[in-house]
Amino acid sequence: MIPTANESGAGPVGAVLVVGGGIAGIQASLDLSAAGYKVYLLEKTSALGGHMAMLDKTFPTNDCAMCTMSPRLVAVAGDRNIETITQADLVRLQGAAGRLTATVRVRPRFVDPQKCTGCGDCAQACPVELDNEFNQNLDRRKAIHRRYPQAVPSSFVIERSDRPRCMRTCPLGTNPQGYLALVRQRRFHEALRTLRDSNPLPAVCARVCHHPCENACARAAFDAPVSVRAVKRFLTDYCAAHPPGPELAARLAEADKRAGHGHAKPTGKRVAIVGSGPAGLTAADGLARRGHQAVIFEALPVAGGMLRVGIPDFRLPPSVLDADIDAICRLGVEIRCNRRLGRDFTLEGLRRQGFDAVLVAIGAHRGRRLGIPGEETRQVRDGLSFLRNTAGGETPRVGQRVVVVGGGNAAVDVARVARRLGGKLVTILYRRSEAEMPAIREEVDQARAEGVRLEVLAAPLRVVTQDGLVVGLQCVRMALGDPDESGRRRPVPVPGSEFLLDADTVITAIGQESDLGGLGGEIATARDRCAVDERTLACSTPGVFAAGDVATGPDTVTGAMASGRRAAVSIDNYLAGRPLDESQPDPPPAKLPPVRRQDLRPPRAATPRQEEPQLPADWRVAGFQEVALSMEEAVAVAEAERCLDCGVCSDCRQCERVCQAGAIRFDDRVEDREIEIGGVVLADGYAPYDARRRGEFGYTRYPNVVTSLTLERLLSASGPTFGRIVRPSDGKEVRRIAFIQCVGSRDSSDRGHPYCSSICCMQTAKAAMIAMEHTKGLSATVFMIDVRAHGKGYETYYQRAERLGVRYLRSMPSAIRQDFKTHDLQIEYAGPDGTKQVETFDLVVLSVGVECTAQSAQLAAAAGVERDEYGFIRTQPENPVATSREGVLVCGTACGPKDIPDCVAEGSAAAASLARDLAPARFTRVTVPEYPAERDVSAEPPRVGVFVCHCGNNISGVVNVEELVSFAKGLPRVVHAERNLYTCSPEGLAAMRRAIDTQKLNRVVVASCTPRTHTAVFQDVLAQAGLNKYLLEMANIRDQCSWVHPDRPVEATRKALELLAAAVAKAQHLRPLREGTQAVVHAALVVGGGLAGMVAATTLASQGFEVHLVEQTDSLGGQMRHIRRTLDGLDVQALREHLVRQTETSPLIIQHLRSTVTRNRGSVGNFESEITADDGSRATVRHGVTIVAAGANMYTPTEYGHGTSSRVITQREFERRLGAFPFVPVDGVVMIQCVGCRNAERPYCSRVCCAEAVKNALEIKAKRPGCRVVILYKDVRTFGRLEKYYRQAREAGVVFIRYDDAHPPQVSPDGVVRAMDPALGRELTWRADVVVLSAATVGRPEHRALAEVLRVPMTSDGFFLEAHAKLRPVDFACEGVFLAGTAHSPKLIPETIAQALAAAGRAATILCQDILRAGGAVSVVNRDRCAACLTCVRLCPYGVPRIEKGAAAIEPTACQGCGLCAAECPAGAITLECFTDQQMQAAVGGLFLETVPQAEEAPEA
Amino acid sequence: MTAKGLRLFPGCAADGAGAEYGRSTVAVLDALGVAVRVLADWNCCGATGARHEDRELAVRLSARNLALAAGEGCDLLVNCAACYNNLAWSRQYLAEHPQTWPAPPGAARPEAATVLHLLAVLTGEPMLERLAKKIARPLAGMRLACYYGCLLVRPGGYTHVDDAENPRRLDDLLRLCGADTVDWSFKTDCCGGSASMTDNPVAVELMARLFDSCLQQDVTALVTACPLCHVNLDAWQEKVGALLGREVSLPIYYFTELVALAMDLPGVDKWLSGHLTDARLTPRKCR
Repeated sequence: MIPTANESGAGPVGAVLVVGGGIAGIQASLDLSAAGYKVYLLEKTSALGGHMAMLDKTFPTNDCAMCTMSPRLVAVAGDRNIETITQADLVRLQGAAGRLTATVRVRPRFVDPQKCTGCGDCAQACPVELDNEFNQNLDRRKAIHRRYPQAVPSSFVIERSDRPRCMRTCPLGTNPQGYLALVRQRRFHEALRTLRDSNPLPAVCARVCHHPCENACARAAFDAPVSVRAVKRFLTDYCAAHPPGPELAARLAEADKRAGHGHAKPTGKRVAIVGSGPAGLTAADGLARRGHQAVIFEALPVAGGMLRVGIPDFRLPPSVLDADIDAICRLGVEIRCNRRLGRDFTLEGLRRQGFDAVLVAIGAHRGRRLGIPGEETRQVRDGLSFLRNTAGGETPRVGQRVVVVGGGNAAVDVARVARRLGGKLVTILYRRSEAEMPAIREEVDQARAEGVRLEVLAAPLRVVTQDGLVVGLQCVRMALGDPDESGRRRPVPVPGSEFLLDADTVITAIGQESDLGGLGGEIATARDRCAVDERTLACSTPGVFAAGDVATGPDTVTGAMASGRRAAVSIDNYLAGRPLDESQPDPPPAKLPPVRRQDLRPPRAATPRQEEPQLPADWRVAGFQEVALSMEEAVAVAEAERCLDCGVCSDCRQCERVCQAGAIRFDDRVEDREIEIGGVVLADGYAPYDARRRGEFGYTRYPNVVTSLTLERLLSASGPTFGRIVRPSDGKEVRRIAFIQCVGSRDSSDRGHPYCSSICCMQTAKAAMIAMEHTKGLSATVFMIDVRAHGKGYETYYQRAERLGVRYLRSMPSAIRQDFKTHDLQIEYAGPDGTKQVETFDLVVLSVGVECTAQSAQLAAAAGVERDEYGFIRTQPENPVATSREGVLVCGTACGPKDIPDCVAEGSAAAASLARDLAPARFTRVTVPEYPAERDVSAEPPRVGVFVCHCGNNISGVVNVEELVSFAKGLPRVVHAERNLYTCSPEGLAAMRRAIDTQKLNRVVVASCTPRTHTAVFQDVLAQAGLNKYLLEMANIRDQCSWVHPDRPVEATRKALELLAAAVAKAQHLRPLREGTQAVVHAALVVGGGLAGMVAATTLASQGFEVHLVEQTDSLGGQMRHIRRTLDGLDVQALREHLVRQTETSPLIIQHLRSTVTRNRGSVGNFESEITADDGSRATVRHGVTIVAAGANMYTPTEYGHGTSSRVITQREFERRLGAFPFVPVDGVVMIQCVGCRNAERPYCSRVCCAEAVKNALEIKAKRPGCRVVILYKDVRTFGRLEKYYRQAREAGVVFIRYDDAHPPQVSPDGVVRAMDPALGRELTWRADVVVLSAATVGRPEHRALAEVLRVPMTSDGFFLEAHAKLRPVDFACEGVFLAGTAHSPKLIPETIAQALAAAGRAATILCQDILRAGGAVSVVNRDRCAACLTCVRLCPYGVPRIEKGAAAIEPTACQGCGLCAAECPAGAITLECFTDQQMQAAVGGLFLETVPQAEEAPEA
Repeated sequence: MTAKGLRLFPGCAADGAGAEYGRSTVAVLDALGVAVRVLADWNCCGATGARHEDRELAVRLSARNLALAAGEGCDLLVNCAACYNNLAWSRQYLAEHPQTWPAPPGAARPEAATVLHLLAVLTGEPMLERLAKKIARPLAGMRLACYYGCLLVRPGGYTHVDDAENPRRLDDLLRLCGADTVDWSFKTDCCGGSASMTDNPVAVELMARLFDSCLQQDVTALVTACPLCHVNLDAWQEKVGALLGREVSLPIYYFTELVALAMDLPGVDKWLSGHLTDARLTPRKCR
């Protein structure tokens, strides 16, 4: 019966790709998986759910969106034939329908979803807070986050862009954003860890770094860069003054260990480092962290190199340097002082001593000479030796007038030292301008504040001496010429500008060079440096490396450190035998792209930059006290707050430090993946219209103007305000709320979309009502054009909103104004009488429309499909889910605005279309799990195993899990108890499996999180271990314990003990349950031979299923016989003929014309029906499924003289006349809408009549442009794309006049129509040749009988009632029975086709199986106790219980296990398996600990 | 901005009611080193009377001015918002209906000249940089409501503003000059300038909304870029005060006056003493 699989590769592929994980894509995936196909579900964000997951409630039933959707999410997560690929986009689709290759680009998640258990410890640790886009930026989330708490997959994800600008410019690659974020949270010790990860001299750099990070800081785009160095200075000072306590120290050490920092095993290799300057120290630190033994040889008596002797104490106090060096030594680095290369040892000697590698980092300690006459005079000194002497404790003598030549940091330092040593007039002489000075700007400013004078654009010519003493410096003025190779403009002497500078001391500081004498020629040199490979710093001799100034030439401190770091990497590679340049960092880019304000998140507050505090200038020159001071803690924190987090994730790696599952993967990269599939479903969804485009409403300018999606989040109980409707500006409760409809929709300007977005009217009605429910006394006002309540149950819902007091105003405001003091909002509008009104509101909600996603063009191109004029995927008129490319289907809002039931129906329809085309490959790519035979445990006494989950820190951080385990061990029948870091992790599950085997467990209790998501996971382990899966019990000690009592660990532990005791007590009474089976009859019964029935029948037949098509008339076609074409131009009669031909020629479709279904029994998979023809003959057929497509009728009006006056006709009659030949011309047509519905008797909207009226009006206008056409309406409901035709009709001159129920139109027999125009406030009169009535669509009277036979429910409006208005639009609650077409509710032809495809697809998921397996945890009836009182029959929401032979019968394959019947049965005859009275009593006993012993004594059942 | 040369179209206000605007415009341009000559032989742009009587006449009046500038290979720089609107609109109309103004033999096509408003020129990136270096006397303590009015910004299709509903260029410029500016909801609403003579109560009512809104925010002055708005807002404050039931006396500045003040250019005091509502610099004007 079922087509056999095609393995050869010539036929189609039994796998499909669904693009988009919203509700439509989820439905398509579940249906396709159920139909036997492997599904790849692609989602562009990090989690499934789409927009529906953001909604609060759904109309018209007010079900919680998340509650109804969550089971679907869990179903996808648990379906082993659906592979969810998140953060992924389709980039290419090649091949032909049936055999396609999709290229999918997967963006990195940075968290391994296999390892991540979703515990959330990482988000706790993450210091970077960002706007939470899921909550419409009402609150904040971390850079590592989960889209929403119920997200599937539940794995976290890191939002990470390029590294932050500060990090990219730092030569060392330190991470200012990371430690600033931690400082912001006052996590100072963790901040220092982050800093120390990349910077072994943090306190030194906090004082002397030239901070390129600040120069690159993005904050400058708003005001001024963050004072990164000052915050760093505070941080290092704070941590030095407040060492971590033992607990914190242990925690930090553990975190370090987890992240693998500084815990390398000793390698036994030894490295000699010559020189203890910044390069040598950094290299030593890097080598020590990699497990090597580093020994530093220092020529001077003290360590530190130029840091020690080149930087004066008032910039870098020796104690600070000592502390940083000590920290490096604590890693095991040894420093030997007074050992000079060339004097005390040689490179060769080092190697002979057994060093495996040598690093030369001797710096550049020799000052360059000016090369001018008089330089050799005694009072002309070299700046470096001057500084060295000072640092050594000497006080060199300087004169009164000191000239320092040079423009670098050394020159400035020398000048400032000279001031402190008594120089009265200290001048810095520099040949370029001040802007070109390489010295740190702040230092120059400080020098000037201390009285140092700058003489720029001047160069020395000669030293003027008198009597052997210096008396002055002959100089020449310079001007800036063309740029030289350094990019700076070259100074050129100005002729004739010589002048004399008085001086008694001249100090030169124009640069330094290395003294290479000590090398003894052992390695190659070039100029005054060691010759090295630029990237690896390797010298000419293998095993010898050089770093710092001796390798690179004079550089900054961080530059030297970076070079030391590079050498450490190279040496490590060398010692390990790897290529030397492996994992070498790239040097910072020469220039970063400019910051653009629009790319940045705006600052949180307008706090100005805080500068580092300093000693007053006049105190400074009195001594060598440190000039820069530490910021106050509060100031530093505020300064850190100024960071914009421009790199998003700050790379601080705190998450890596806390993740106990080891799931963080910072090395994730974008990956392309190729997937073989048979077909594609595009379900990419929509984007909300960007309300900023309607600037007059002030969205983002006025805080209390929000969008409808924001309101959803405010209303949501799980939203950022827990359902309190408060104003974003001040958090005050909202009392007056206004909605503005059609923002971005029904807007033919270039700022909006001409179509109607279909959903906003109802969303507003819902939100207004829910808001009024949340806040007593709240008033809601809706500004609108028409209310479009065209869906099933929508009209009554809208009327309820009006009745409850939602005020609807037919007026569109042109602007919103804000009171800038109170943030109240004012709306000026035209009142019902046309006068100007001004009203004030607390909150204005812009009801934003639907538009195609930003990626839709890209997606369409990748998938090779066309888009329509609005950017949505173009569909085919005869198949609303088919695209322009065969094998590629589309559903949901990706092809146009629509509401949830339509999306779900289309999801099923697209799945059905694909399933039909790929039918030969069904079941070829799916996996069916194999389990060992179940162990019979009936004879065994209960042996309970208890598994307590830490859930990272989630449970163990509050509940004492050790206590729980030892308590469990003491409980009766517990033979095993253990605790796991994550019981659901692969390790945890393996441990459980092991314990079941070794301990011969036959009951398992897991104390962990929620059964909602995890039951199936643990049940699977039981099944693998050969245990019946119903022998599992869970205690929810996370969601219901540790999370709710985080501040009361003692009580929480006690509660957890009680919950566990209850679970253990209940577990002893668990019994294995069997699932029943039902063989499937591979045939369908389709009731109704109209459009829906024929589409459903042919769809099923083409997949090889037999179909009994029952039609009560004598021909096929139903209502479509009366329609010539649709508004979109589809030729309905051609379609009808095609379908009839297909139906009639299909050998698998058995037609039963002039027949009705008179009896039906059985259940899903195996029904039996009696079909009675009008001649009385009967046939009995067996079928696995039933599809109700019984259609609807048109109302026959009695209003307006219809039936008595020949002028008064219906739209259908009018359409026939328009198509008749010859056409009888008319000159005056008045149409009246809503005849027979939207009234007290039929309070629903017939959905199709507005489109029908517009269609006929356009046709008459086309045939006879002079004809006057008036349409009298209540609301024009041309939803979605139909809006275009409404507009066309108006442009063609059709006059639309509104009427209301208080003033219905009057039609006189002679064709005079009168109507009250509410806009003009006066009555209008027309003479009409024809008065055309838009008559309602009504259910058929014979439907009642059919409903009774099939045992399916109906609505009070006379249509059939589906299982769930939103998520099960084509299913009946009764399993195996489906619904399509106008029998469900009035609908348009394309909608009917989609629904019929959907019903057929849903039916096929049953028909494709041979056996149905169901039951287990279901209700069972004790026939002896049953009184056949019908309580269960009436109560069951799924219509399952029936009375058979005097007692209730519950079909296990149909029962949903909700337990309502068991709870309500007055005779106690019904038991819900897994929740028996005995089990529940035991559980309650366990809950009250003292009664546990009694429970233990209770005899076993 | 354009690489072509500029000709200043002074408009009728520059020598009359808006003399301070005209003079401060020239002073600011001079100080910023923008060489601009006044368009020789210019005529009325047609914005006020003509446009309401005969739209094509207004277009032809503008066309002649545009053609004069185009003939010199220059673009037209305009500081009056009304002139700017009409010239820009006319240029667009001429592009679509060239027959409206058949160019005399040898004359350039009017559409060849672009119409630039002074505010757009001064808030171009290079000009802002130049200005930033010349701020000598920051407008500290001034809390200003920038009033763009309607003609400068609407319709966005041809006025080429940054944002027709919430323009910010004037605010950016004055912030650069050291003033504080407030956001308010009436910055592009009509001040009623065209009705103040014909139906004065309507104009006063419109103005009252503006004043009420910005006075709530404790501004020290209102800034305009339009001589018509200026004279209107400057002249009727007593009546506005009567309507609002409070004394209203708020200096109305041309933005060029304040830019000149920030650059400490000579002549500012003289211009400010010519306003109807006391606009002279006293400590009262600064918070």
